[in-house]
Amino acid sequence: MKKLLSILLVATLVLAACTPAAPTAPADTPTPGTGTTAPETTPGTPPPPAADRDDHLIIAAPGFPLSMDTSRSNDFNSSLVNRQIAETLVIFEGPNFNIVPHLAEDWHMPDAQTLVMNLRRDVYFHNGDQMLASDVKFSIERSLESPVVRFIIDAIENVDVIDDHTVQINLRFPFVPILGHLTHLGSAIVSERAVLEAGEDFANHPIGTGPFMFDSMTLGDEVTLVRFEDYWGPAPGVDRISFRTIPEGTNRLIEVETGVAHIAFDISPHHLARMQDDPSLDYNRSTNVRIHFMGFNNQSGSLQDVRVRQAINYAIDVDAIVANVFQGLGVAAHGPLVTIPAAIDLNLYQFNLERARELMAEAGYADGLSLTLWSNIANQQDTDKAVIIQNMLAQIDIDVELVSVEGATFMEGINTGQHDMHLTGWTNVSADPDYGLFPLFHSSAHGSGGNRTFYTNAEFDRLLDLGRQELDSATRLEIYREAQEILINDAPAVFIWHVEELVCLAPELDGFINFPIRTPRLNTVFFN
Amino acid sequence: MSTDKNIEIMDNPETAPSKKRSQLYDIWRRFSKSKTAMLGLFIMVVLILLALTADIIAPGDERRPGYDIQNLQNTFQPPSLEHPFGTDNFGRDIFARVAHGSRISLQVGLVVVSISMFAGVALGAVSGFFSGFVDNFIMRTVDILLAIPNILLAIAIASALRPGLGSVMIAVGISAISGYARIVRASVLSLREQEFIEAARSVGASNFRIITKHILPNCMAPIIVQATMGMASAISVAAALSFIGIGIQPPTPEWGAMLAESRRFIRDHWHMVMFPGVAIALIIFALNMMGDGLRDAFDPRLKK
Repeated sequence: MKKLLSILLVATLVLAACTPAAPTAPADTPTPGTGTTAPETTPGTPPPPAADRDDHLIIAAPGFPLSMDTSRSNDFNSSLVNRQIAETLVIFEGPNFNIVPHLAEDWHMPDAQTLVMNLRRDVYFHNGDQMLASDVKFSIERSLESPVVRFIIDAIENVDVIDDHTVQINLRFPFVPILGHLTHLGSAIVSERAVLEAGEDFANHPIGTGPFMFDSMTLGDEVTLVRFEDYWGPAPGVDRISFRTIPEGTNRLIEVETGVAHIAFDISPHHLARMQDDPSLDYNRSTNVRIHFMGFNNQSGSLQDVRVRQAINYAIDVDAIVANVFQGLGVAAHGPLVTIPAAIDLNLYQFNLERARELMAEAGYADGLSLTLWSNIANQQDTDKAVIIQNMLAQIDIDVELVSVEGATFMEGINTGQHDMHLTGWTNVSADPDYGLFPLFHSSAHGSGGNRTFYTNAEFDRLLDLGRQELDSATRLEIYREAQEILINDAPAVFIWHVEELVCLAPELDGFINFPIRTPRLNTVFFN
Repeated sequence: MSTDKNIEIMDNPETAPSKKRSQLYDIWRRFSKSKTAMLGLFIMVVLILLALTADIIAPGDERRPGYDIQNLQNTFQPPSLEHPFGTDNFGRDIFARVAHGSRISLQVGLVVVSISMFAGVALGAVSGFFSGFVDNFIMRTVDILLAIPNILLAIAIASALRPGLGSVMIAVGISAISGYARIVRASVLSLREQEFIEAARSVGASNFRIITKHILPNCMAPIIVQATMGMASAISVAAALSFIGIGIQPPTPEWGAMLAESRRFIRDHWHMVMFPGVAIALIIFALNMMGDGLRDAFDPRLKK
């Protein structure tokens, strides 16, 4: 009996060792080795008129939406669904983040504290009501009361209804970049009547103006949307969309490989090679407005010395991290702003160990020092970066203690400044230099406001305050360039990576365009 | 003293040493007869040697330990002469990490077994010896511990403490106490009614002395077997805890943590998952085989 058991054990071991070695080629691809035809982005091919067939698009999403109420959610999985159901007054278009009309037809700013918008007159909600100025006032003021999304539009004081199709948005302080913030789903327009009728239950029957309307859901598993026939814009290319929750990245990819799903989101860079080699897979790469960085606690011990912060900047080979953790996707960051027009590249901190050691010696730390590096254990890429950075900083005798903790502990730790260094990211949802700099580095935003580096520089603060009020875009650009120069010289952080998103697509799918704030509008997608 | 006289009465002083030797020899003879037990012993000896010599076969440099020598230009190398187990996503030699990891697993196993054995044996002995209220109180507590799944209890304890190897060892140690307590109590219950205990008591030996000098030495056999098996389950629970991300901090080359880190590469780079996985399987296999062999060797009546 025992012998049999041990033989069985060994046999399973051997089997386990053998199986994963050979990558399995799908049986239905007779011509392996032909290059892929994966397009970088499929330019806006207009979707064909709806066929009489029932086109059902299946999406593999990393998680289930927290809420289908746009004023109660600000996470990827919720936004992915909500962006199909609800719409914003303005949206981004193209790689330069141009802000273009959407539910609002046009607008003007009489001064830096007032925005007047004319609304489209042909927009209807899923319940048949026409979208009116009162809905806009209701939706935005409702979002202002929600702790989940308030911070995105908290420059808004209130909304005045001028007439049925005109609103005036009043700001609490001069805030020129407000339009960028109105592209965020947190400010999406929902039906006033539907919300008042449904009350708290609205999240289970969301009513928006989007190309798809809510159909059904299985909690924790799947959400299904159907096409909205009275949509004001171009008709969607598919009849139904189902969002399925598949937490493991590898499994999402397999879903597309096996033909179960058509789009898989949040694919790790390590799968790029596989998607390139497999003719049964297409993929989409698109840069977005997120940046990864390592922030210093600028008020903690040795890190108060700018020379130490600069030394660490010199000692970390950002290009090597990008090549390793992100497989060369995206762009190595040399400054705080993602690739928007206001971004500057001083290219100040080229990897240079000699210079780093000099600066450490100048600062009086020739014998090295000990620092903690905090990261969220749920974020694999941050954990990978932490392990590499620990190794790199050992070269200048900095002994890094990794503190990988779960999300809530992490946030509490960095909000209260318990860390020396921390790894995190920032999604500049308005694609404006203000939102890329103010919450992260303005001294009024210390701690939970977003500035976990506790960086303080009066001149930098002054420039950011100025930038919010400047209506002339050329002058405004100058202000932010100057501010970035100060910031990069002060080195309150090591900027690491501008994110490039990887999405896996089924080859029969066409028309997919990723949106620069991560969640795409799927009405352009259609089957070949 | 009086107990020494007892021994003299029971064992002829001239034959005692040789008799003792022969008993140990008997155990060893029976143990060595079992091929699986000897295979287990062999694997354990190899692993212990690996742990002892890890710094020699996989040395570090002046700034980094041997298990964390990264080379970002040399990632995902399949097994070769230079890197017998290949390299991982940071270009670290997986053999070096497995070798250094054997230290951690053995350390975890030893510390956990020490914690749980010390506490469990003490509780079980007290409980069995005194009976009555004390017995009831201790054993009902142990029953409660038993009712909670081991891994769940360990997760709860590990998340309450500061993450690290220490809290994993404490957590797994506490969750394994109940096994020892029950085994020892059962042995004590049968032993305490025997005549030599009565004899010890009649010459005025204290309870403490009776427990430590007379009862415990007589239930060593089941304790040793339980400790060997317990070490195997301790290592696997610790690996499971690291796998789900509780406890061990990167870049510690704990085998379970290595599995967890490399799991996402399993489709493209199987070697990253296989070697730490095989290492875990091997050590647990070896300990269980040794435990089986020891049990048979201690008590030949059990066999067949």
